[in-house]
This record gives sequence, structure tokens and C-alpha cells, in this order.
Amino acid sequence: MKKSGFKTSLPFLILLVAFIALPMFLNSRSWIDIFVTIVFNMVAAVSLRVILLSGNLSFAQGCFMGVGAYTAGMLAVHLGLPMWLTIPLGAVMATLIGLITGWPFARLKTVYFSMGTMFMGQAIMLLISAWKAAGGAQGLNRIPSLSSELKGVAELLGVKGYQAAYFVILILAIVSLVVMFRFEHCRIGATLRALAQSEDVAASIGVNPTFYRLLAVGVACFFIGLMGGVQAHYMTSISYSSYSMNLTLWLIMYMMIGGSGKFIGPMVGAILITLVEGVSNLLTSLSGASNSEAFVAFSRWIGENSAYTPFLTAAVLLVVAYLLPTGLVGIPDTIRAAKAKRAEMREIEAMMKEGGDNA
Amino acid sequence: MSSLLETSGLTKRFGGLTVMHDLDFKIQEGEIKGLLGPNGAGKSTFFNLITGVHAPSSGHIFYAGREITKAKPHQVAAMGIGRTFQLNPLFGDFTVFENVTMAYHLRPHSTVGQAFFGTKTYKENEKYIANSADEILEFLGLAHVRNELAKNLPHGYQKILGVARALATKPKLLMLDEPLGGMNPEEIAFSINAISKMRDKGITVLVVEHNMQILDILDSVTVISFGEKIFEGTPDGMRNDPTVISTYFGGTV
Repeated sequence: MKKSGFKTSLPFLILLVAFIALPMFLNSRSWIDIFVTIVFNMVAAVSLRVILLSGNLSFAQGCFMGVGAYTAGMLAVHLGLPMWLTIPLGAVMATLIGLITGWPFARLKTVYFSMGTMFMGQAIMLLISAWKAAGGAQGLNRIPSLSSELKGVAELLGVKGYQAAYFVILILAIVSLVVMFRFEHCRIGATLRALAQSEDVAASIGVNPTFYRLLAVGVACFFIGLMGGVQAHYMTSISYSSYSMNLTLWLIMYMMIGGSGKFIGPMVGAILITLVEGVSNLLTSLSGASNSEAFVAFSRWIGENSAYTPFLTAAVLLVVAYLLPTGLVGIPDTIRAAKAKRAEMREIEAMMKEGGDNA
Repeated sequence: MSSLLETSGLTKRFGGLTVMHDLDFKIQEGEIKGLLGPNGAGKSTFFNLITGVHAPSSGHIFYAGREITKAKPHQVAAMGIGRTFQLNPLFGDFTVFENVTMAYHLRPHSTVGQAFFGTKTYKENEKYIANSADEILEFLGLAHVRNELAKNLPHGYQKILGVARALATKPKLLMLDEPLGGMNPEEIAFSINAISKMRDKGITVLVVEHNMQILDILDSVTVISFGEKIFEGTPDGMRNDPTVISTYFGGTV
């Protein structure tokens, strides 16, 4: 069951190199925005999967990104706290609210957990939308910018401010992913999987189900809250509507399309789908400056039809659910299993033929 | 010998239905005790009451001198009561080996922090667990299916795996819910032998069963019917007890 270290870490290494190298060349603000969104979505989707390890699908996960973002944003706007404080506090607040609201839900299972968290997530975001200090329906604006904060460092390194911001976000994301990876790949992750398979048996060997369920919720909320906190300072203005149920649904899509069975699954899903969406937006914005007629026509077509992205994604999701229940990253395993089965069938056929010949 | 587990006046009602009525029950330390009775007698309910899956409607449960009436399942396990289940749920997507190693959750216990950071204690624990799990698999004759997924095992092996898992929690009291159910004669003989060996390891065993072959290795028996105790004594005494014969064997004598 243990694969060689190199084979398992190779895809991660490729991603790491891509995430460091590509933004050095594709360094326009629009491209960096896309990379930043990919990184946020990646960590968010992975955090959703941490809870899924214990057998529960949370529909409130996107809202905890909002809790992190609003906590960081409000602390910075109203109290003038520095970023190195507001961002971690955003993560802490998301964890706290996750634990408090997760505690009653920890005894719910499967679809009931999903239903409960769905309404709770909506309720939290509704509260924020009605809160004057949080900017209400206008959203929270004029949050200190991470890019401006890093201007000095960026100049020293010869990169742009937003590029430096991207690398800070990347580092935080890598730390988050490494922690969640280790969390899953030690005894804790195995215990969560055990809990998902049979809570009765897990309790009979001494596993405290509530503790482990909440542990998963706490870890997941911390890192999605952390991303939310940074996001507030990167975007400088946030709106409660960007952390609605929609976000959670997208996260679930990333996870399902990429494959929920492996750690890298939600990462792959988030990268591919965010890239498709981001590039279509980018093309639209670029077409104004271009003098190639075909390009303008193409990007206009993409821009006009980008509203169909959710439908397209849903179609892809359906195809994945029917044909590849293990997601995109499960394709190699599926092929291997199919090959093994075919070989076995051939062997049986050969044996039957032999038997027939003898008779 | 002192009593390891004791219940007094244990009663359980589901709505208007009384499935366990005023049961006084005792297990001496170091014995193999049988809890017998026809289907629906309340045997599995008794298990679930002891292990905290259900809360009793009234009555008390004492284990090693402490009251555990209100303890939750994982707390009961922590106190040294291991159990199997009648319908035998497993960690189906784990291998046989992983099923057993998972059961070393408490003894030795690695804290979440130790596990996360992979400390020396954690690594030593995991090493010990791997060795010890293999010993249990060897003892229960599961070594050759060590790396099979649990859900792919034949029924009899799954039952034995349930016992292996319970043993891995290092119980003082091992409660087996119909360990022979659905087994073929060979597996029954093997299991009976294994259960009697557990006594030699110093484990107190409580067996719920309605296969009478188990009588050969029991030290004492309690028979219940419709949630009430109808007999308490030795296996030989039970075979000759008129009440047991009339209720349990259908009044054929």
C-alpha cells in the first residue's frame, strides 16, 4: 500500500514548479489574479475534503472563508490592526465559529450533516450581510492592500507588488496544504476514515466520534479562514455574496471533478476549472487591446458565453460522476483496474478453452 | 475471585415494550461466561446497555467497582471492555491488518500532536502496533489474509476479524456477540478453541450465543428469556434445569 516516495510526490513537485515559475512570466495583474484565485480555491477545496474524510460533506465550508475574510477585513478597517495579526485572527475566528456551530452538527451523519451545515452557512452569511459594521449589502471596502504593504520588498526583489503578494499567498497555501497532507497521512487521517466507515465500530475501539469530527472541522475551518483572511487583503474589498452557497457548491465541484479519493484530487479540480473560467475572463479583457480580428471575435464569443460555465461544469460533473466516480485523478487507477480485469478474463477464457479441448 | 462486571435491576424499555426487566447479572474475573437465550430474549440489548450504545431505563452497571451506567461507548472501551457486534460491521475499505492496527487507538495511545508531528513516541507506538497486530492475526489464523480488504473476506473470517479487533483494544473484559453465528463447523471448532485460549491469557470473556456447542468451554451460564433471567449456574446445571428445558428447548422433556 505504500508507494515509493518519489512517485507520490512527483505530481506535487510539478505543481510547485508551475506555481513558482508561471507567475514569473505571466506577470500581468490579470494573470496574477487568476493564479491567486486558483491558489485560494485549491486550499479551500482541499479543506472541504478534510471534513469529508470523516464521512461528512459540509455545505458551509465556503462561508468560513467569508468569516475569515470579514474578520480580517473588519479588524483592519475598524481597529487598524496590522495584516500579520488580522490574517491569523481571521483563521482563528473561522475555527472558533466552525467548532461552535459544528458541535451540534457533529452528531448528525451524511445527508443530515449536509442539510444542517447548508442552512447554517446561509444563516452566517445573512447575518454578515445585515451587519452595518461589516458594510452590509455594499460589502466591506478600503481594506489595506497586501500588494501595497509588500511594495518595499517587491522593489527590492525587482518584482511587482501584486506579484510579491502572490508569493506570500503561495507560501501560506503551501504551509496549509502540507499541514493538511500530514494530518491525513498519519494516524489521525486513518481514524477519520475509520469513523466514516463505521461510527459504532470506531467507538467500540475507543475513538471519541465527536472529538475527531470536530478536529477535522477545526483544521478545515482554520485553513479556509486563513485563505479568506489573505483574500480580504489581496482584493481590498469583499462582498458577502462571494461567500454564499455558490462558493461551497463550486468547491464541491472542484473536489468531485478532481476526485475526492486522493489529496491531490481537489487541487487538480480547482486548478482546471478556475483556469478555464479565469482565462475566458482574461480573453474578454484582452480583446480590447488586440488588433487581430479573429482574436477579438473569439474572445467576444467566449465572453458572451462565459455565463454558461456553470452549466458546462455541471455537465462535466455528471459525466465524471457516471464514468469516473474517482474523478480525474482516479483515471490511472481506473485504467489499471480495467486492464487487470481484462487480463483475468483472458486467463479464464484460456482455461475454459483448454478445458474444452481436453473434453 | 471478585466480580468484574455487575448489573443490578437493569431495565430497558423501548416505548411501551420492556425488552429487559430487572436483570441482576455478574461476571467473575477470569471466567468465560455465557449469556444464552432464544431469539429476542434481549441478549444484544444487554450488550448495548453495557457498552453505552443504549442508556438503561433504570438500574445500574458496575465495572471493576466503578459505576459505568452513563458512560459513552468510547469511554467504556477506554475502561477495558472490548466488544464485537452481532451484525459485524467492519472498516470494509481497510485491509485486515489495518482493521486491527486501527483498534490500537487507546493502548498504546498517541496524542493528536504526537501523531501529527511523528514524534519518537508515535513512531515507537506504531512499530509496536504493527508487530502486535501481526501476533493477533497469527493467533486467530488470519495471517494469510492480512492484506485483503476486509469487505472481500468470507463471512466466517469477518467474524473472526471482529474478535481480532476487539482483542487489539487489550480488553480486560471481552464481550462477543454471537461469535459463532453463520460459521461453518470448521470455523466453529477453531473459534471455540480460540475463545478458550483467551481465558488463559487472563481475559474475562462474556459470550452471547445460541449455538449450544459453546457450552463446553463456559464456566458459568445465565439464561434469559423475554428480558428476564430464568437460570443462573453451570452449563451442566443448565442442561438439566426444567425451566430452561421448557422455555429454551421448547418443552420437549
